[in-house]
Amino acid sequence: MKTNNFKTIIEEDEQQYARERSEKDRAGIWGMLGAYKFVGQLVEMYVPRAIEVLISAVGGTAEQPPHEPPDNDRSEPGGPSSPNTGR
Amino acid sequence: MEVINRYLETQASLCFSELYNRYSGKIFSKCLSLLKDEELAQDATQEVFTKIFLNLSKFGEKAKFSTWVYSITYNFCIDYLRRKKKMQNLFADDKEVDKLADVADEVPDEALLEMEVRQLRTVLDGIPVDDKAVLLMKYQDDMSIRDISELLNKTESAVKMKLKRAKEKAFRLKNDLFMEAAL
Repeated sequence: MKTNNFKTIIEEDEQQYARERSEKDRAGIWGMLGAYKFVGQLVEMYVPRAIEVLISAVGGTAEQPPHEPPDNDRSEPGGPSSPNTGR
Repeated sequence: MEVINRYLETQASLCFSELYNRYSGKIFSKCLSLLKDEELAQDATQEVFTKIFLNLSKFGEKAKFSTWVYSITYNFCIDYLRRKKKMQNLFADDKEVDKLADVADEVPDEALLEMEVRQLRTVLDGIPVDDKAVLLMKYQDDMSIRDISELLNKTESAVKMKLKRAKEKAFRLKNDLFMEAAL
């Protein structure tokens, strides 16, 4: 196998990093990602509502997705019923 | 719902740990090499790693994952050096190097790869940071000329020339520092 001391350097640095810094940095980065996630959740939760408020403030209405009735409401009383009705 | 949240949380945590164990040391090593300051390198590692994790969904699988990770790392360090250290001409087209070109035959890769570790560290710290970066990209990260050219926004022939000159500078410095000491 060919010698490549560029790789030796990075391996030595990695070992040093693992010994001296790794755990402390891991907590820092995980904390930072947690903060980003929290901000993301806040944005996800409040921005659509803020937009709705703005729209209603200027006199419009936010478009609602079409309401689908639950499955139970779909069958009509006198309409075609399930095959097990015995008729 | 709680179970689903916990599941998602655990997956993210596992994914984070896996990536962290595999790459954090390498990212730190590169940041330290280029920024030459442990505290800065530590901060840079955190920022780069956060960037990687937040942009995981943008990884297009066009390149190897490691190449993508190292590209983000190099870009971060190069941007930092340009902004904070006022090194605007980092990776600018080299004009003075024409003097160096064709002085000697191309330095063989083995001359660099087999240089003693302590000497190699000293030499890499002694050459300009942009030369050091291309040598690391090529010999430490096994990046292709095309990958390097995309990262630096240069043509492939410009990258080849930069690499050739970086090798020459490294080899000259090694001779200057260590051949004289040996005599």
